[in-house]
Amino acid sequence: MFHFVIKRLRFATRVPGLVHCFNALLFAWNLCFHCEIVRALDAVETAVAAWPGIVRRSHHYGGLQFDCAGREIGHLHGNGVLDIRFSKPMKDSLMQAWKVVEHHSLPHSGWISFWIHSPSDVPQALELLQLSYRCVRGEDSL
Amino acid sequence: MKEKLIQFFKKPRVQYWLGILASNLVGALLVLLTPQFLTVISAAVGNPSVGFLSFSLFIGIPIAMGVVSAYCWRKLDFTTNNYFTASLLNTLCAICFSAFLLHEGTICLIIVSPLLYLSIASGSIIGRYMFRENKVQMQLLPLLLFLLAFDAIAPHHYQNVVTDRVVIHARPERVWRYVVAFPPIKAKPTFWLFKAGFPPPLQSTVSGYYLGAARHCIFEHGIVFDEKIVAYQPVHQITFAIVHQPPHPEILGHMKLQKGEMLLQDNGDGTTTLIGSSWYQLYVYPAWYYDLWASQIAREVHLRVMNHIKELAEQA
Repeated sequence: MFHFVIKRLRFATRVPGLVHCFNALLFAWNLCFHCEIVRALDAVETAVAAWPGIVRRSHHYGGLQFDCAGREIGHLHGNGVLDIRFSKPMKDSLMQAWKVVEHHSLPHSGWISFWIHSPSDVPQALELLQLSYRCVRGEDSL
Repeated sequence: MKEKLIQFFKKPRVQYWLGILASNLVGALLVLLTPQFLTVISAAVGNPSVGFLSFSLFIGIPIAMGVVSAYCWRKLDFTTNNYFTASLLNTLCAICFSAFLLHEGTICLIIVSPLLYLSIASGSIIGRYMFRENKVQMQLLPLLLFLLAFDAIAPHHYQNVVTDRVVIHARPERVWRYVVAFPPIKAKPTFWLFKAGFPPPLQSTVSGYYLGAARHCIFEHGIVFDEKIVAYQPVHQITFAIVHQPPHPEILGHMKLQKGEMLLQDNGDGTTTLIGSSWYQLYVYPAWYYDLWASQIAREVHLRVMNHIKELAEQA
């Protein structure tokens, strides 16, 4: 359903509030059928929120975005997708070594997607976000 | 004094309960206003389906309640799980208010509660993301108004039929003796809603074995459906129209039973297949949700009656 909405109903993002409704629908679905994803997303949010300089805000396409120094380090969707933007070379190296996949709607960019299915995926999600966080803070290069 | 009041409302526990109280007050207000709005719009567009309990009431209003509660909780630094847990308490409060103010029956409240909870929880998650920037955002309002308008214009005429089959180890002539009317069912109900208080079928009586005869389907707690036989083929078919439905709070205004039918099929091996069907119309929406319950209840009523007939026919 997520891919169908992203690909076919993209125009609906212009309707005010609809992306939040869709995100809430994904959460409600997970509440009913995949409670472990909700727990995992909460764990990621709680951990990242504790990093210095992190600001949480709503993502433009629904979900939770983490910013640092006015730049996005990644965002979480209600269905458990973590999206992070890297440089193309870094994305290519991550895709070889990590369980990351092409971004669901921007496959040819530096964006990657990581699916969080259970709390066991949280450490890897945090590592990816930490990588992006360090890049944004200038500790590593993108 | 003003400073004390500000400090009081800054307390997390106060904000928590304020969210529940505010959302229930907004919900009560919307419950009062929404039917009026729907009636006016429906009349304006010439939609005859006035008087139904629509999805605006069961989905739109609870979502709005969730959004209101999320606004009050926006400074509490809740996780998603916290929102879901707090929404559960919010739903319980809404159900208690409905029981006292709207005099809804226990079974109705059991049936509506999962939908109510999911809608309130979804509303709180919507609100969580809407108010994350700590600004009052009214962007959902046009969407809710659109939902209301769509609800008023959409047709509300949902009918369904539920059919069940039971194979009885007896010839059709023997089965037929217990189909038109049957003695009281003594077996204890097994279906959980019957145990929770929904009246199970008890007995059926008839004024005569002919077309046009009056039939009474008696449920527990003194509930009687008055029926009239509209198709009668001995040892093969009986169809009865419901001419009067009792004003029971669990079904009043929610659904209307239209007719019922029992068909007997001779299997040619000394057994008979008894086929029972019930036709009904729903007055509560969304139909996809309430029909899950209505069809299951109809099925359990069928099976209780048909298994009773099976037992009597096989013992005879």
